[in-house]
Amino acid sequence: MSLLFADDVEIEKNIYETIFLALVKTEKPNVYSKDTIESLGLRPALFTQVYKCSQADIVVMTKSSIPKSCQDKVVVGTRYRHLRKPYVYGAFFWQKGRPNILFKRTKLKENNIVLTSKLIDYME
Amino acid sequence: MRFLVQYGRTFTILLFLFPILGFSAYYLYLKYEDTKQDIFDIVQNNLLNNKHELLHLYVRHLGNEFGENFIEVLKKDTKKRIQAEKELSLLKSTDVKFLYLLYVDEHGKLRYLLDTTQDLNEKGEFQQRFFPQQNIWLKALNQKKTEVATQTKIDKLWISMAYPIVIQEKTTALLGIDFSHEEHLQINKTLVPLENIYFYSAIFIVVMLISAFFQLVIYYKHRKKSFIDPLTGMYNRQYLSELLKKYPVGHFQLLIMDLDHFKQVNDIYGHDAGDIVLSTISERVRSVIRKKDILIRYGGEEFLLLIPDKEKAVSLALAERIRQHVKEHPVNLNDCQLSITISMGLNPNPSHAKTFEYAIKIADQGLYKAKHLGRDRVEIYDDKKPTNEDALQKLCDVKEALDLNRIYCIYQPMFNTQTLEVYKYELLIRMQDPQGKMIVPDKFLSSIRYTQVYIEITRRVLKQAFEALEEHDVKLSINLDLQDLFNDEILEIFVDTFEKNLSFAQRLSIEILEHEEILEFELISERLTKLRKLGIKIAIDDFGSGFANYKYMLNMNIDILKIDGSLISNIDKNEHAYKIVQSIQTLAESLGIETVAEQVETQAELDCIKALNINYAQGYHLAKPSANFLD
Repeated sequence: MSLLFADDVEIEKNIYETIFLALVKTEKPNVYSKDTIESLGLRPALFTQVYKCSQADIVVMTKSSIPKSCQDKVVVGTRYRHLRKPYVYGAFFWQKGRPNILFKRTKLKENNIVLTSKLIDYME
Repeated sequence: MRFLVQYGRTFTILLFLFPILGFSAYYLYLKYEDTKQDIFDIVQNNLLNNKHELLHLYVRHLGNEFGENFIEVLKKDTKKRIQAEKELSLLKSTDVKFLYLLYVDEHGKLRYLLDTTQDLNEKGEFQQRFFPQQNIWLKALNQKKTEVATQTKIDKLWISMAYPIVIQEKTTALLGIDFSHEEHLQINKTLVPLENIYFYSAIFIVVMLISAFFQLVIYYKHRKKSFIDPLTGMYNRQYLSELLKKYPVGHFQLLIMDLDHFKQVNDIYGHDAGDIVLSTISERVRSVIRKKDILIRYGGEEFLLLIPDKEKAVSLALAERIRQHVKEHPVNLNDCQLSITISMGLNPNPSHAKTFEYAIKIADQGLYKAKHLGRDRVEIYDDKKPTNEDALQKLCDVKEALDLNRIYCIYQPMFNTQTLEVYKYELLIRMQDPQGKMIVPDKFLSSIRYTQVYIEITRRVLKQAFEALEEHDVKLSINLDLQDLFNDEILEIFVDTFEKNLSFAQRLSIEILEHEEILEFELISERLTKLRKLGIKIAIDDFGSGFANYKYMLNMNIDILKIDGSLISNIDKNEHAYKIVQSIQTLAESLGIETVAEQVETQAELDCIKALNINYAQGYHLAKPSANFLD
């Protein structure tokens, strides 16, 4: 992950919140990530960080794959290549110092997830 | 006006200098920053031009290599894409972080076509969406012009450049380059010493200015204090002299004020009470003057008011207001109330005087007039009379003569008419003009009567009398104007000179002359008593002429009568004169008063005087005045 400034971390947390709330209907979804992501630890947040995949509504994928038991969750990647995984709904990653958000159209359709007009542009 | 006098020019200049220097320093700083920015812009433009040229050449190369529609070719042919990417990476210099080619898809979205980035996490894959953060991409797309965005992060300047590739007047792709611009940092580093010098110089100047400012504030605070009389809170003479450096003599009308009978307040109630009176009266005066008037403690109980008005009526009204206010508001002194009055002399035309000192003297003469006319009044010295330049010139001449010892005393012997032995000597004052001509006192004393020079002459005469009494076994008689008895200073000279040498005082008599009618006999009598207490004998001079009449005999306890020379002259031939002198002698004898005949110029006159039993005689027939005593 690229070196982020304090402002960037805050931005990143806001983006994660937007993505999470777009993908699940839960008011304050539980979020699991195997590795520490600084922005997910920021409080207050519109999500709860959990430390077991089983308790999570959303799994933030930091490695190239995640355990099978977690694959039925709403999985959000942190690399562009993560989007190639069939269980990944979308991804948020930094590239060339710019934040990138992408949602997989097919996956969303499969799970009847409808994005707000604000996010539709990020659907691929 | 007062600000300038109190704080002076330096302080005022500094007050203006502060903001001027501040603004100048700020202006220089802005100019410096502008220049620095200009340098940055020049360097940056140069860099951008280089990059732009490079990208331009690359696009030309792609056209030459893959045909005019090279974007479509690259999209379809992976091998050619790899080749083009390799070629693109050749353009990467150390300052370039990202260099990539984006194409515009059928929905107008930007996607990666080529990306020279080595780091896989940063590298955009073919067809991957490119999310433009800055609007330079869309602008370059729409306006078909190269766009640049800059961003400063950490200590580097990051520049993103979007270079549009236009084919058939349509932007089909964008070449993107993100590079850092370290020259910015290098220039900044180079300029640091210069900035430090400027910064520390500015700090030094500011500190010095602040220190100078505070030092001046302290200096002028002390200076202001030194202008204020601590007892009365009025300005003092030092302030007056500062003020006079800045204003001509005629700028103010001068009102000099003197508390009436203040010496008695001090004598009776003590000096502490005197101080209370002075401070209270100064408050009273201050409460009725205007803001523009300047009140100065000019002497012990003497105040000077500088009135910056031209009309005499304004000053007179002001003076009258002060007088009334002081009179109507007695001073509270412990349990009693003390009524204080104030006498004032106004000089409404100080510009007539050559110097401020002369202008003050004119006001002073008005004050004396007010005192002699009964006090508690305002008087203007009549400038049609002796206030003119001649009088002032006379004053100068007398002062000069006094300084150069051209004023001296001679002795006229007075003889016992029966024994024709010298009884005493009358001290006669004379002035020698610069040409050596002798001038009699009538010609010069009147013009200086109410001045300090007159007092100085009195002091000089008394000194000579004292020395003569000390050195010779003689009796002396000196002349004194009756008006002089009102002058405390003159009276003090007598007391100071003879108080410790009463035996000398007993050999001294004072001949009192009169020029104006005096009504305050009570006061005169009180003053004469003081002199008599010392043992000094009192004589009335020129008796039988002018104001010197029986009223004085009645009201003043006198020892000697000097019969006026006009009665003695031709007494042997003038029967009326003879009878008048005879009656005077009879009266004097009955009152135990000794008599002296003046101006005895013939033997016949002397014989008559002798026949009338007049005790003493003087005149040219007997002896002329001389610088020495007779053997």
